[in-house]
Amino acid sequence: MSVEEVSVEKQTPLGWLLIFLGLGLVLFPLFWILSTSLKSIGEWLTYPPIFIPEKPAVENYLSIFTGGALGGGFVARVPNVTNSIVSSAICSVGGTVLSILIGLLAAFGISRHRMGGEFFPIFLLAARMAPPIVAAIPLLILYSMIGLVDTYLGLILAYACFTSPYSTWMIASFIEEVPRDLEEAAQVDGMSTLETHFKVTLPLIKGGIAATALFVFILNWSEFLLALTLTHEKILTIPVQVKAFFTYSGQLYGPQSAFGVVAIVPLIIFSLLIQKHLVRGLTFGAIRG
Amino acid sequence: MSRPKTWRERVLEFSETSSGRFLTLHGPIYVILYLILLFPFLLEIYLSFSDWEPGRGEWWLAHFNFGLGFPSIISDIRLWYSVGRTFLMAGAAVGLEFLLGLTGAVLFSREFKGRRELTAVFLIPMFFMPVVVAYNFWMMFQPTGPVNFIVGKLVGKDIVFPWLSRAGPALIALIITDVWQWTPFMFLILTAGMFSLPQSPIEAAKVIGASEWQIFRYIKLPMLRNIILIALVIRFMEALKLFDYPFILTGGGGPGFATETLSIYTYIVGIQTGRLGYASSISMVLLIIILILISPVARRMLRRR
Repeated sequence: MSVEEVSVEKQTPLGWLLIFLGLGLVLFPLFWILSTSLKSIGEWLTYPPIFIPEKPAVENYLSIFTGGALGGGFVARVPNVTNSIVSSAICSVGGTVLSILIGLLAAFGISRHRMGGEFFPIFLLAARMAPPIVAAIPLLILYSMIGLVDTYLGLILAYACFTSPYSTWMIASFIEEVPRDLEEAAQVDGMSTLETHFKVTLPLIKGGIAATALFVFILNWSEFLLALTLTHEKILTIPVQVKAFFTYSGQLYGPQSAFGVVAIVPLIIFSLLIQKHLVRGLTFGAIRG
Repeated sequence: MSRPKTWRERVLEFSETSSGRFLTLHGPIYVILYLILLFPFLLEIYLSFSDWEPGRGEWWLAHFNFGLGFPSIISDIRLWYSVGRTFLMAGAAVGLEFLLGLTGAVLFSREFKGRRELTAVFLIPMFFMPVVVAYNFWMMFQPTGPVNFIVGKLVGKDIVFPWLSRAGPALIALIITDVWQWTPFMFLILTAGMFSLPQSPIEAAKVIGASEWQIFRYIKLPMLRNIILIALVIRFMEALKLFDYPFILTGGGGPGFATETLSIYTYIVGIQTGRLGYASSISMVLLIIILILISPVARRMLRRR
């Protein structure tokens, strides 16, 4: 049956009401963090709360990059967050690249050669679904034995380890959409098996791999528990830095909100890029790590 | 005499044998899974039978207490409260997310202007960093924050309610936070499910004059059963890991232990107080619970592939 023949119900007034209600609930917290990030120091804790700052100020955004003091009733020292953005970028990108490479190879093994048998994908899924704290504790012991605590390599390996089951499942699902005949034809032409994987199938699933990479990046970028456990002071990723704000002089509502907004920008951009693959990505294991 | 082989040729030749192919394709993932997951896992089993703490010297010298940590798990009331609390919160949050997500999916299966754009807007929360979401809701739930203000305006008097310093309200605040961020997930999966339904039974029902509600209740919902199950299970498993929100929003499980989840408790025992042996015992129990919950779902997902 073609799409034109299907008659779809029109939206009812009650439906519209519910949609607008939902829209308000979804957008209000977004509005709140954005508005707080623009409030100057006297407007953070008033009652009734201020919804739209009188003079929207960018001083919060500036302060988190210069690490200076914020004037007003009292002087608050704002931590400089540039380092945490750099750390997060290094760890997330490194972890993503490694995870995709490992996942790509493993996915070919699973969907083209049924390597590891029926059990292997389940094993991967179980590794993915176990709470990170279960692995974080022995990982910390292992890392302290081999000196990987508080190093980029340590966190990158941990990220790759926790996300590679996910990349494997997702890339495998893209590979299975490419008919095997293409590889078999190339094999007749004298290509080796591995060459057929990388020269025939790989170019066809480029888009899928890019989408997987963005998903994995989002996972790594927002990851909190592992970064909290496996790093101390040298490396501070963005989520750990957000938490660290709590311990600085008082509650820095404005700068911390500004930091939150900055941290989320890449996630919003990337999520728009993967719209098409959202459903597939999510069924293989949500976004949170 | 033939020319020496290049590295490329050697690799390709190596990958043509079946063991070589296995090593090239699955080698890396086995290395990472076994070295970084399995080895620590075995270590964890060993430690769960000991009473090791980092202050007491090297782990291999740890006193082997023949699993005496396990009996003390049974009598660890704080642990079992956190287990119950985690399941309660996950159940409440996922249940709400499902109801809201299903309502959204029904509304968005109808036709209206701007459906595409609105769908994208409704998905935004999912992509927020959980830590930032937690911080944002922490701000909103402050006594002088906007939540109290808006509720106060609705009931017509000033409310300065301390959400985060009372046990029950703090739990509710956490559940609301989880619902805000993860309802979009349910919504997306269920919407996708609605659109992939076969149209002919629905058309047939329309021809014999079934109402929209009847079509939803007796045709669409039963056909969606599988997708609903998968969405529920994925979300529930994720919700059981609950760590980020209580860590930020209620300062790591406060007030008292009122919002302490399993992950938080394990973190406190293992990392903050350094009782790694006992934390390992807890993790083992946790892992067994999760595995029991996972296995039927994993089998189902595999069959679908």
